[in-house]
This record gives sequence, structure tokens and C-alpha cells, in this order.
Amino acid sequence: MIDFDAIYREQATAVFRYALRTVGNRALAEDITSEAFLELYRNLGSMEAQRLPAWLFTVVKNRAVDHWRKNAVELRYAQELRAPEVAPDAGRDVEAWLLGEPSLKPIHRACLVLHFVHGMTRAEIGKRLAISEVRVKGHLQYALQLLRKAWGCKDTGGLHVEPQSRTVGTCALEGIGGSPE
Amino acid sequence: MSNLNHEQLELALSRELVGALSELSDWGRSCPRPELLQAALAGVFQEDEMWEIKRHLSRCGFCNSLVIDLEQLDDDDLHDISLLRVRSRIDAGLATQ
Repeated sequence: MIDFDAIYREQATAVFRYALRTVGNRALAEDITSEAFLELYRNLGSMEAQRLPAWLFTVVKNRAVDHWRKNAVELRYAQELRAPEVAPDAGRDVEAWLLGEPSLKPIHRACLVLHFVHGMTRAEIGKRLAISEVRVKGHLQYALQLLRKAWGCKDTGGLHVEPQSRTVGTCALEGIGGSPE
Repeated sequence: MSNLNHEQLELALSRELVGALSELSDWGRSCPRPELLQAALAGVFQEDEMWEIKRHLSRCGFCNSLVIDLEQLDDDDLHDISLLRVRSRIDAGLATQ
């Protein structure tokens, strides 16, 4: 006999993580995860233990496929995307800085890219990353200060990345923002 | 730290970096939404549906680093609040069955 609560304790985190990746939306991932476990509960009587946890992940994937089918317009848009054959050189400078700046952590890079490349608001980023809007602001400011420091050197030989440097640039408002966490 | 100070600092930095930031937003016009990028890598789409997304990821350092960072951040996050909500929905669902 399958112990529903034990399966939940063992698999809930992994199933939720997978759901989050398949839909990229925390609220929807919560819905899909709870639906998958309720579906399991309804099928407990006929479920073979060896089919778990794969069965749960399949349910999540199928729900995600349904979600994206309902959002077919976005899919078509993605299919019609044509990445530029040659990206603008200036964009490549910032891209190289972003990938090479050792003081940027994943949270800083993610906030910067979600806000300035993908145009997400700070509230949307906070919701996606499960952090407060104030923390999003702090991470953005830290990243911007590093970019400012590098960008200031652009006219004197390209964007500048200082290995191991964790010092933010000096500015009139230094000290109020930026969190290197 | 007040919100006003946050706003002032971000505004001051944004003004100084207007060139760099406009390049980022220009670049982003050809980028699929982050949810699509992650879903494609999670294997949700058919091969023909995700061909362009994978092609984009192979050429766009911003999106490529974003999906890697999001995956790491999601793994680091314990999802406590989300899992509490999931559990309460399950309990509510079970109560009706």
C-alpha cells in the first residue's frame, strides 16, 4: 500500500521544482503540483509503487503541455523568432561583462537580465524569484553600480572587469544601495 | 533604507548608464520570455516547437546565463512558502473527496 503522506514528504520539493521549470510561474507551479498529488491520491488504489515518482513528473509535464497549448500564441511567437545573425557589438560588450564579472552572483545577474533585457517589473521579478520587491531593488542597484564602474572605462579601452573585485563604484549616493549577497 | 533612496539611486545610475541599458532593452526585443526558455529546456515542447528557442539560447548570452541562474536560484530556494500553499490546497482537495 502506498503511503500518500510519505510520498508527499519525499517528492513534493522535487515535483514543485520541476513544475516551476516547466511553466516558469510560481503560482501556476503550485497549482500543478497540488493537482498532481491530488491525482495520485485519486489513483492510490490502482497505483503500483514502482511507477512513482516518475508518474508524478509525467502528470506535471502533461499539465504544463496543456498550459502551453492554451498559450499557443506565445509559442508561435517563439517559433517565429529570428535571432540576429550578427548581434550589435555594443550589446556584445554588455553581454561579455555580464558573463565575466566575478562580483555578480546569480541573483544579481538574474535581476539585471529579467529587468533590463526582458522588461519585467521589479514586482514581477520578486514574484518569480520569491523575494521582496525591496530586495530586487537592492540587487539591481548593486548590479548597476558594477556596470557603471565597468561602463565608465568603456571609452578608455572597453568594458573593464576587475577579477576578485567586490568594490562597488563610488557615486554621490554610495552607501545607500547594493547588497553583495 | 527608504524607498525614496532606492528610487533616487536607481534613477541616478540609470541616467549614467542610459547607453548600456538601452542596448540591453534593444537586445531583449528578440528574446523569448523567460518562462518559454525554461519550459523548452525542461522538455515540455516538441522538437519543432523548441528549435528556435534552442537556437536563440545558443546565440544569446543573456538568456543562456538567465536559465542557468534561474535553475540555480530555484534549487537554492527551499520553496517553503510555496510548499505550504501546495499542502493546504491538497488538504482542501482531500477534504472534499
